[in-house]
Amino acid sequence: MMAHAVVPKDRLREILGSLLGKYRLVAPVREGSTLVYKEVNNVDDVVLGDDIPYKSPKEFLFPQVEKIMTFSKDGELKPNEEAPETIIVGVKPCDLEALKVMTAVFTKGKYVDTYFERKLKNTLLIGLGCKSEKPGCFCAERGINREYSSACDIFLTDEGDSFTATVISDKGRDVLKDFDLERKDRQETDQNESSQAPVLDIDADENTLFNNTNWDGISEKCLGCGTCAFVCPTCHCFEFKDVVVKGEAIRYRCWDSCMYPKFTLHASGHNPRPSKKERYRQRVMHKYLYVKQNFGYVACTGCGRCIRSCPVGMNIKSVVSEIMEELK
Amino acid sequence: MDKQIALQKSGSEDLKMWEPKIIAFLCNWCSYAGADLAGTSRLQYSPNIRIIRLPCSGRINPLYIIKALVDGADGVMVSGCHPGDCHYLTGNMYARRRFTMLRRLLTTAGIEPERVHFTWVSASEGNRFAAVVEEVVNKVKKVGPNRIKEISK
Amino acid sequence: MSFKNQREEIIAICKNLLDEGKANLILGFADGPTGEGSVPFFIRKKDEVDDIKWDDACTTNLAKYLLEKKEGAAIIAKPCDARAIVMYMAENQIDRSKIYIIGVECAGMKDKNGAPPPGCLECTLRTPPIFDILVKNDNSSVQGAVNTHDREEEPGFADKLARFQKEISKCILCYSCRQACYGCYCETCFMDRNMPNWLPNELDIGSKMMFHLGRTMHLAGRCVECGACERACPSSVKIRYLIKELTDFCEELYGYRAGINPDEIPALTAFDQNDREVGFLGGEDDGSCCGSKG
Repeated sequence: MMAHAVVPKDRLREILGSLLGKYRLVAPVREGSTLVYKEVNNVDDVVLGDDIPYKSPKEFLFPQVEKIMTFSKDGELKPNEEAPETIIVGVKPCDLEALKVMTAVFTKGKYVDTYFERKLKNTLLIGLGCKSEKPGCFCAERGINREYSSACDIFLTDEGDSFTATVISDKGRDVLKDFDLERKDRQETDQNESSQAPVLDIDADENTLFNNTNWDGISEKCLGCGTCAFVCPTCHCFEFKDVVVKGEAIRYRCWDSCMYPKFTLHASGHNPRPSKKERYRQRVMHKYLYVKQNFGYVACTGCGRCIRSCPVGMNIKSVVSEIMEELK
Repeated sequence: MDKQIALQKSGSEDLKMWEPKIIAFLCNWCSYAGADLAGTSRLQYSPNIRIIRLPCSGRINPLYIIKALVDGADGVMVSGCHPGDCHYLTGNMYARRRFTMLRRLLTTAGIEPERVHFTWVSASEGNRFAAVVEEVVNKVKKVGPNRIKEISK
Repeated sequence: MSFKNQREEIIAICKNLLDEGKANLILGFADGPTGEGSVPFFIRKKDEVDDIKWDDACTTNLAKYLLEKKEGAAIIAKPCDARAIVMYMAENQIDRSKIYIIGVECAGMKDKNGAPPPGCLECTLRTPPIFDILVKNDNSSVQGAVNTHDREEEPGFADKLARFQKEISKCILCYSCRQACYGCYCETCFMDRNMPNWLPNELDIGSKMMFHLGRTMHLAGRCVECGACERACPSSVKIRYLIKELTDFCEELYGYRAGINPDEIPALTAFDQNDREVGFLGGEDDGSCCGSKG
């Protein structure tokens, strides 16, 4: 049963300010001309507007560098179970849908990633809708409603000088229960999710797609910089690094990207994906086919960040459209 | 290293006890021999340098110097044969250009120029080596411990 | 508008090249995916030539693609791109006979906010230093070079380090700058090596310092000031001020500017008996307490 409340914008600031003491608060903040999700110490830095931060909030559940465990010379192994109570506010619907994919990859299936799971359990997600599409966005073509998503604990809709807060989960209800908020009646049908089926979706035989598409031409511009994987809300490839500091060994997990030339370099020296063609093909097929086969979700929510950040304008939306055309 | 970390945390009174750690990259044929001469002549000089011996100053990758500073060294000293006297004929000539550029880069990035020193010491200059080390140690003492990790907190 | 006239000339040249079989591939520019900005465009057929873009949004540096096009190509080169090609020749990375350079005089680019992008504001080179055919710019009121060397009164050293660390704390070590730079073409970058392992143990400010200082040192005396690094950065890190300092210093000391003369030996691979020892103990005073007779 969803409840709705009216929260004037300055009241929301007050609420966030009082939660700041008990939780780690993460929100979009402006750094120069860029908008980025960051841990805030001052509620005045929070920007809850229409703009989308250039990186996704995945780094607060799946850090870029994460200390996994330490082991000492006498064989004592200590996993790092840190999972601070966190509130991430201002998460866009494309990012919320993307977290569904991350959650499936890390927690469904044979092995559960306890590091991700622990952090997810201790995180409260407050979503925020988009009024307009930014250049590069294609969430609508991916079947995502930019104005609403129920894949969070509380969802905020901007109504001008106030927000309508839709409380979706018990966790959300608990956090807001001590604040005196004006309830609002709303028809359930006012907000509906996934308003349309995705237009951009590849339904094809793996072998045809692998062999018969012009991957050479498609990937020609790519520089192999890996920025797309870093800003993408669903990319989750990682690497481990073991280091020794003063007699104690530490294992770190850090982000990796399939676009790097050395990503698939074997110890023998053989590299099964030796050129951009193989790597870009892998990127598209993994997102649109393999993750769908393994977990049921397409690992692309149309946020458009890769298109905006790419220094040479690689456009996954037009690549997939082209492929769909060819397959017809 | 523990003493140094403790020092940075405890404040300035203990700064008087702080001894800088300076990495010295010395070329085998001239500077290292010069240092050896200083030793065999029983010359006293500040014990703050840790010597790394390389065949030639031209072999020094600027990355060694950068890594030493990033890893916490308070100072770096590089010494080679006098220009024109390189055992490998021209190694130190290339090194000279490289070091000039590196020094400018480090000062632009905010690393105090008193921390990084380049010099030429020949195999017969034992006295001079000791004097150079004293000069370097004094200069580094004046600017204090390495601030790289501290300033980002 | 002179960009429009230049574009027509470029299209005519490209059609000619393809007709006469002088080139099988032309590297040019096309519209970006969001309608603004430009992206690299690989032209192989005559009917693609009309899609060529040439205006003040063509900021990409195309020279790097020449390294992988071993069979040769024609390239539409702005002065900064042509400088990169000159450097490739000086460093023996390309076969000059396989490349056809369509040099284009440049009046300066603009980014999506209408301001000059990194590199254009200080540019003094409006004509490519090397070309097989030149497309002139008939616009004489070209934006003059502005020296943006923001030398605020030498800030105390605490400020310089704080400024540097503040700027690179935005860096996410994605390596876009490295991939976009013409000069970074090592098969295995020092950052990717295990033996030796250059990275400090934690991915903190130390790793970022290592990368940026190391990369800048590798580009000392080689930077062609095209601005591709800052443009490629997704986190808007203003990293060019470091290499710019070195580029100017290199010119001051050795009279060398990268990418102007293909027969000139790059400064850091040469030496002179009388090189200045700025800041060395016993050398020239560089304004710090060093350079005194030791």
